[in-house]
Amino acid sequence: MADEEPRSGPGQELLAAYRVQRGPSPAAVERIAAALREQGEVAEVAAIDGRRRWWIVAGVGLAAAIGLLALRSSLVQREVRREDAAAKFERASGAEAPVMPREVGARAPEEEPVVVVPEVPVVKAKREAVPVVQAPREPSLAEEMQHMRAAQAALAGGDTAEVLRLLEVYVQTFPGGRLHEEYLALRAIALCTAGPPPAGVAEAEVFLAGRPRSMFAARVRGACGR
Amino acid sequence: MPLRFEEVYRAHVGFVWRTMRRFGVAEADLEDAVHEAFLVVHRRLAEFDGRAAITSWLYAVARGVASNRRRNALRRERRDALAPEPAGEVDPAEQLARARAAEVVEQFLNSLSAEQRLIFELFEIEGMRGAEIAEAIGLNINTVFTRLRAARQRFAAFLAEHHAREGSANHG
Repeated sequence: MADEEPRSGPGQELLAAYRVQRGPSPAAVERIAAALREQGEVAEVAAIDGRRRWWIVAGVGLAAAIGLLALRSSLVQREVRREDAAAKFERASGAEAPVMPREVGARAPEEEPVVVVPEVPVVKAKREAVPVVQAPREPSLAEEMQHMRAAQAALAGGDTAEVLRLLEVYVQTFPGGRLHEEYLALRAIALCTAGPPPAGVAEAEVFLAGRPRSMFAARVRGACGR
Repeated sequence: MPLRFEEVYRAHVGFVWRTMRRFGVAEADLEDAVHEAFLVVHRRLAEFDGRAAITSWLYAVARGVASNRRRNALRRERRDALAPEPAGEVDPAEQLARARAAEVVEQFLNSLSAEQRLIFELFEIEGMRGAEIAEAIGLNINTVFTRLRAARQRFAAFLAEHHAREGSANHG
């Protein structure tokens, strides 16, 4: 049908920019994916490769700029950016588009008022069951996050000594924990904030060398002046 | 071949996000709403028979969640702890370019009727086909194309006008 011609022509760059601007930020996409993974049943949402993610972001940003130049906008003077700019996060923002489509009777899955978080099934022991040696329970991510939240709160309150203490407790409690990257970042930030500088700076350099594209890299750089 | 959840998530999370926004979900609640929608998707993906487009199906899921969802602050807290939003890393030029482009499109969309805007967005922004849109929002396909055609013509006129305005501003 002629109405379904390929989408091309003027304005496509603008529409692409709108699509990204009104869509989720890469960080939001990964947060939701992480939350779905943590849900237990949803284990197959793999983390997207960081480099690919930033190329997507950079590509759409470039398309937006080209579209604006085509419209002779005088507002934007783009600078040549280094390749590592592709690793920057963007945060979607902007006005809502509160358009409420009319309610219709399209064939659709039934609506679900409440989403029930899947629970871990409890296996009841039989009366005459032979005792079994249970494997040590793996600490849940929620437990790790609880520690990390406390450290974040202490950092926000400027109590760097408490941050370091809490981080020490964390690393002792969860050796090889899933939030190890955040642990390293917070430790470097806390050390840099508390001074004397060399200790924190050294940790920051190690962190940034090993994880230059980490989502915490900006905060570490900011706190440690790297 | 059954769809894999991860593929559906990666391919359509933006669509579901923007659909939630269209249904009036507040900016601050979007993450939570999208999270909830994909829990529903995960649970029900096996029921998707492939006769309709996946976007039509997701649109209906998003509509259901958006109209019934309740806030879950705990869930958001957990996500934030998993991966806090990084601050201070936005490239100002890139951000400005995209924000400016989005404003231009928003300006045009605001000039459309609600129905015309929805159809234009689903077709031009979300890439849905006419038949999928008709099914998703329950309109006759001819009506969809009539509205779409009119909206596209207005978009072309809007761009020409915008172009002329920007040109005169640059030379004035």
